Amino acid sequence: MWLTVEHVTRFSYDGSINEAYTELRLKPAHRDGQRCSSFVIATEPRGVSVAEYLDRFGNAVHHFDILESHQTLGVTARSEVWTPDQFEDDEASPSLLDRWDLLRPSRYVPLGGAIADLAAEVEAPGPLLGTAQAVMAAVRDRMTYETGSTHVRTVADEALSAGHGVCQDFAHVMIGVCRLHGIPSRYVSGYLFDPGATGDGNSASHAWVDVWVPDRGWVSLDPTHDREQTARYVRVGVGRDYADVPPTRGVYKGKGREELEVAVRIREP
Amino acid sequence: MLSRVAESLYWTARYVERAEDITRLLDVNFHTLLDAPVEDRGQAWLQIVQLLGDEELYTEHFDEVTAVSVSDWVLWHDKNPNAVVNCVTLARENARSVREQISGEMWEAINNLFLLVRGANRRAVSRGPSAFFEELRNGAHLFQGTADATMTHGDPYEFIRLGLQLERAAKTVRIVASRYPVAVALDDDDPARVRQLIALLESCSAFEAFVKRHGTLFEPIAIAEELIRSPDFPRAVRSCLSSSLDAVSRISSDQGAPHRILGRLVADLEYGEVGDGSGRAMTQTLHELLVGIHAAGEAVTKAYFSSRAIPAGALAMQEAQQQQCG
Repeated sequence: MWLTVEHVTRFSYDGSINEAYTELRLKPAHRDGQRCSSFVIATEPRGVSVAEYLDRFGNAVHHFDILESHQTLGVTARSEVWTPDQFEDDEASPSLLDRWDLLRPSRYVPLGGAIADLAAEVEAPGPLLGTAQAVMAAVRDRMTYETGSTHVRTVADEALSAGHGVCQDFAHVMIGVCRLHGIPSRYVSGYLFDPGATGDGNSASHAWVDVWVPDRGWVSLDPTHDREQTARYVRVGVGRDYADVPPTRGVYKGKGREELEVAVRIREP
Repeated sequence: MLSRVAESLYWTARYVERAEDITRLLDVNFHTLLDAPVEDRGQAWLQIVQLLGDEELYTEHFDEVTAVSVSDWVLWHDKNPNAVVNCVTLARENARSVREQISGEMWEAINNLFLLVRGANRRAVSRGPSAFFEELRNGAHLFQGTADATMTHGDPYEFIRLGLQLERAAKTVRIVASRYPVAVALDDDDPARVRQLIALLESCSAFEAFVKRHGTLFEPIAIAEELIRSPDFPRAVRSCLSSSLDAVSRISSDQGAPHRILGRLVADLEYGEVGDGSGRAMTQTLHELLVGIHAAGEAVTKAYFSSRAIPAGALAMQEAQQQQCG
């Protein structure tokens, strides 16, 4: 289906800052059956030249710097994207080393503590895809979705021990447990469109999980909703965990207190 | 050249000079006090703290004023931003950030100075400070000498010279302001008077230079003239400020604020008078000079290191946005 996404990020400071370097991972992916037909970035202050490169995971990264002093930094990204009915893996098989990377603990996904306990409880019924689905169900079972219960730096085992979190935490927990079962798993950053949503619906980014199973390749699973990726999912980027694909990341010089505002809107055109 | 680079060069030189000046002050005080009555010694040490301008901070950390507490404060105390150990560390940090601008010899000199100060046995120093002071002064001189001898005399060098000369001018003014009124307040025939005047000259490394020109009569007014208005003694205020003006002129040809302020100060010193030599008149003159030198430093900062207005240093991380579906 066709979807348009508008993602507005705005940093305001109560004092002047300078030398701000910002990196964006906001461009919808143009692979795995998904087609990004347009992508435009507007910055504030204006007149900034934005450069692009592909990172280690094949994600498009845009970056720019603002050296002169400023008090607000805004980024508006608008994209139009066509999503397939289901995830269509068109990537080359990950190499042995790539798979190894996706089995190791990462910054948000340590493989001990509560994650190890849950991994021991999930039965591995045979084929790895079945295991991954069982893990997804277990995560959905263990954790309740609660906005504001965690923050952006919460790591997987903290969220699991607390028993609640947001989709970022669900994804991290599922990745951890899958990795312990020997399934290479990666974090997917993107958006989810809910046609029936009203009010605050369709106004946030989303995160879910890709698992790699022999014979099938990548399979995309959403532990927050306990289902496979559908046409309503817009993929932006992948990585070992959130730290590899944050929508925005940057540094600046200055003492001003920072305030972050994010507004996302996903619509059918 | 980036303003950040210019600023680091300038501060490297300032901090090295500062460490050297402070060391000399301490050394001279130790020696002078060997001749002084014991009851005068506390006052003499207090004078050092006042001269360096950190008296308030000092009293927050120490209740009494003794040779040991003042040396500790001036050399090592981590709450004293102008302690020698902190000056040398900052000088090295600044030099390190512009390592590609300075010569290898300069870097080695400043690194050795840093290792000397960092590795010093503080208890041994407090028992017999003289050898340590000498090594430290030699290290600072080596840095300044290698800067002159091994670095291209372009803009980076001029910023080093500017930092050094402004720091030196300010220190000479402070030293005269602190010691001169004390000396002239004493009776003409009081042996302490000559002792104080010699200490004043030695604090500025000016004893030999003065005796060669004026003999050993130690007239206070002649001493003040020499330390303030001499055009050729390298620690005289006028000479330091002329060098600063020269450095500024080489850095940029437009007559900006640093030019104007330094030019006016130099002209005043060249054509003005030190006054009648009384302690009170001198204090007034020196106060005006110090204000002028401070203004020159501010003007240099504003003209060349505009980034100074922004808090220097650490990069802050932008806040990250959590991914949470509605």
